[in-house]
Amino acid sequence: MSVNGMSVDGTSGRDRASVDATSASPAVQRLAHTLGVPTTRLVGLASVPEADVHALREQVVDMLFRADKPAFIRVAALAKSVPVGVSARLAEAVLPPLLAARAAQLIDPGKAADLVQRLPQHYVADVAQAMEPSRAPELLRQLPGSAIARVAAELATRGEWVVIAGFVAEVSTAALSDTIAVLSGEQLLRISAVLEDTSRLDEIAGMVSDDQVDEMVVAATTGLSAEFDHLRAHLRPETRARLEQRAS
Amino acid sequence: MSALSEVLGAEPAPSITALPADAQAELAELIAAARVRQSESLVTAFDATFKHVPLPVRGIVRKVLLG
Repeated sequence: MSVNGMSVDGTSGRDRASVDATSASPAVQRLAHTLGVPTTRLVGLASVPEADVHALREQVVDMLFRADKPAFIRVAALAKSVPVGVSARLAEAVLPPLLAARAAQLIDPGKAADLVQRLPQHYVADVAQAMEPSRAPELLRQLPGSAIARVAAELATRGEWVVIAGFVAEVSTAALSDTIAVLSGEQLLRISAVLEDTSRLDEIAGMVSDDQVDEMVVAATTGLSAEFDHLRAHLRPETRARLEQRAS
Repeated sequence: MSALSEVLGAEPAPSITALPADAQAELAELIAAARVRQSESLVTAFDATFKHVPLPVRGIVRKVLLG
């Protein structure tokens, strides 16, 4: 583990994830994101099984939520007490995305979904970066696929592949389809490389257009060959055949 | 109880407790730092809320956040 790692604040998704996309496991990359540190600070976990890193991250998420839960409850109570429009203005003006993300777990999902759609895209993307998707499944189910897709597109411009990957297991098929439609083949390749749960890769591959597959092939020849190989290795033979056919 | 178990409030997997002591200590420091950052962020946010909240709802906001 690096003792003299770089500053933990202000690292972008590109700093944290893309550079290390093929050198750190998806589980380590997600833990680094949760802790707000570059993956280089967690090289000591390279020998730890992915499932154990995943479990450690769950413990960290639980601890962070527990640590300030009374405050999150008060923020959630505030959202219940004032009109949604006021909540939205307050949230954007004064509520750091991290706190909004934690409080979102405690707000009525319907109201939270309404709130999300009244907030500016950049703020929602900030909240998504701090959010733990598995802790707010109902909120994600109640958001329109188009809203999720817009946030994913914003996160993609920031290079937040690990963040987007974290949502893949939680969103509906319709939202997944809407999201895939707004991403390029190269972006999809980068996201697939950092998926902890690869069980939806075939479903995703079935939603990808021929143009996107061609973009993946081009990306593979211009620096993303490891990501392309990773994707191919996790697809069922019939899905993989389509990729290989377009690549030939 | 190790520093890591203490900061987590739970026992990590055996593969993690088997890491060298300095690696575990650094991991515990990173986790503790994330917790401190979160708490500091919360204090700042509550202070800012009272400064920015619209006048008509200032009373209710104060009541909800401070009890």
